Amino acid sequence: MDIPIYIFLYLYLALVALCFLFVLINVYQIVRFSVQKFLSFLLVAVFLAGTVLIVFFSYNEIVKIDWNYSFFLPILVNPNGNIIINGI
Amino acid sequence: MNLEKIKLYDHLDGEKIVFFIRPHVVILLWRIFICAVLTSVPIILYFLLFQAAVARWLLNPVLGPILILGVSLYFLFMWIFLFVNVTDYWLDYWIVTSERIIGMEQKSLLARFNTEQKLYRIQDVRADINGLFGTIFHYGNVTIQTAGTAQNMVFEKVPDPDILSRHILELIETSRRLHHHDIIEEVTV
Repeated sequence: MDIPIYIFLYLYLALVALCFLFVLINVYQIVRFSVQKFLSFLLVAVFLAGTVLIVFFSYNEIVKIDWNYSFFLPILVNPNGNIIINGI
Repeated sequence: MNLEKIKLYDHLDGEKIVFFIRPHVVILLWRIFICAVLTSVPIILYFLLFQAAVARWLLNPVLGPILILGVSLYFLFMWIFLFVNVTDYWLDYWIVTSERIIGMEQKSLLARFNTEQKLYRIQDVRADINGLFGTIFHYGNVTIQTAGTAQNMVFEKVPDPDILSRHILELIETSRRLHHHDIIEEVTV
């Protein structure tokens, strides 16, 4: 059974989307409920800058990878429908 | 902090903000320290133990990409964990005015808890300092006990709780003198 490694990339992108959801909720909470507006703005700016930096460094590494590469996982299904891994 | 800059969404006539209270800054520093430790552990382990192994894994066409994605996710999660913790600290505050106490507490990412109590309705104010850090940095809880079935308000881990509770008691006394008609009305009803 051939498994393309881009499935890990999709999984990664789904988790990054989840992270951004957390960031959005946090930013909303700060904007909506904080009383010190300027300091809150500064806080949000610092965290967004940090997030962008992490994403930027990750992107620089991710684009170098050949995501079409597949690897072989020795999984077989016998006539009874049982999954056999590595002949076990 | 300039108290005049604070805008209450329902400012009462003649109401003056007396205290704006947040948990002690040590609480924030402790959370930052925990995040810093959790972030640095894999970096330290890499430099001490796994430098050669990681170099080998990165050359592998399957393990390499998984490792890069994992490291990227780990640091992103840690950064957001820090952000959530700082937000949690930042959005926990209590405002004591000449008329009432307003509590805004961030319980979790999607849960906020707002309370409000008129000063003249407060029955008792209690301060307690617990634990080693509380004693060293002089922070603790201030419990505001209210009349009736209303839930007690707790200012958690605030600096100088004993001084604060004394000031609040003075404000309560002043408020009771100003609102004695309201108190009599509430008692008779």
